[in-house]
Amino acid sequence: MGISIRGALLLAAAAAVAWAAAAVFLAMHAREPVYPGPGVTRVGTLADYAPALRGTPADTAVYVLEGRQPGPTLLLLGGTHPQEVSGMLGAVLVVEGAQVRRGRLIVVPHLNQSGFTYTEPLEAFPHDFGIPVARGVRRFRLGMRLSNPIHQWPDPDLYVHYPSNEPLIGSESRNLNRAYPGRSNGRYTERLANAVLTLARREKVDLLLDLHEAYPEYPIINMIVAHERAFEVATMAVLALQSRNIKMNVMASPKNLHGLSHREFGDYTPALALLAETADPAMGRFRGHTDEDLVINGRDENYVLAARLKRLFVPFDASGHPLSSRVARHLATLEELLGAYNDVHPESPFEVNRLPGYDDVRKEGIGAFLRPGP
Amino acid sequence: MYTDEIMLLAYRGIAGIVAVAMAVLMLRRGAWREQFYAALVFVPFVLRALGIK
Repeated sequence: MGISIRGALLLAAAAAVAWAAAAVFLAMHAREPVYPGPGVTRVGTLADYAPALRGTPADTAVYVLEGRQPGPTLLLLGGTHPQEVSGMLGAVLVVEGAQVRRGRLIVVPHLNQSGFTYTEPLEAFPHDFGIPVARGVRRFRLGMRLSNPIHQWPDPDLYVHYPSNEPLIGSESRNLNRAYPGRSNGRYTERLANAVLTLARREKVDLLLDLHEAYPEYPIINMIVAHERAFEVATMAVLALQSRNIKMNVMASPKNLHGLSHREFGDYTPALALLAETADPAMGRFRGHTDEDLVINGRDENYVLAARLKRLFVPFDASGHPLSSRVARHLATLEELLGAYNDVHPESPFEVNRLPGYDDVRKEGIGAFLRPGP
Repeated sequence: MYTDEIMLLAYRGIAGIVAVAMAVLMLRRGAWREQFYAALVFVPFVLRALGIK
């Protein structure tokens, strides 16, 4: 049987489509730059704490901002869930702007790099979004909550958390915030979790803040979730935020809900472990057209209606929940947590300068505090 | 090598076999409908075989 000319032409056309699609998919794996500010004293990677991660998609940059005077250590995590972009951007703003006089900030803005490399097809998310800066526009990846299945496959029917044996739906095996404390010989997400825990132990982290977002119909939003040892600090921070008219609440980390940062870092390390949530309409089930505008400006008429019908856990009007407000909220939470920690531990306080202010970020936008380039 | 990496390699191998089978089908079969459907299947499977998608 000879070779079909039509088949050869179809094969060539399919190969061209595959080539074009491959270019789009490979672009999603490109890592966006972070430009360390003058406060950064060292840049390492997670593989410094877990050498097996070196050269793998799980390795990610770790920025250290160390003051001249010794003091406590904070570990700030952004990008645990890459879909929750205000967490990643809050951490980037700290890396690019903050300066430390006393103590140490260790910041990981893109914690689960794998989750930044894809979006679920049925979610119809844009691949990235742009923030105007002093010179041009900086683009950031919009990822998904779980690790990319291309890095961890297949999902089991049932994910059994190690070491608690708590059962969860299989896809949660790719959720970094259900994988702590992880294990060095586990699957991709468990190995990543274990590397972060090793970092926290080796660097003797005193305070941990994991930045997240959730959809407006989820009850745990505009909330700090705190391990029982961190509850005093969290409560004081929330009172300070409330006094500034920034509505936040505090919730105790459930003792029987395993794998989460606020539970396992508190149980497995000496750190005071906390997690902060803001409200992102781009993640919600009620959302309408999902585009860059929704990600950045956080306005959606469906959510205005849902608020009117009392279906939400946060107020929602036509002004929405812009990304700048959500990032500002995370930074204000960080600021007040540092202050509360200092009140509880006056013998060894943090002294951090140039943390972008809540009102400034809301008024001037995120781009005013991002470095325009190298 | 970790178990999930071996599983992924096996999956990519299988995807590669499917992609090659589709290419052979496009070249060897005369029915346009079979060729067209094979072309549709070829695209995702070759991307998966290459570890891109």
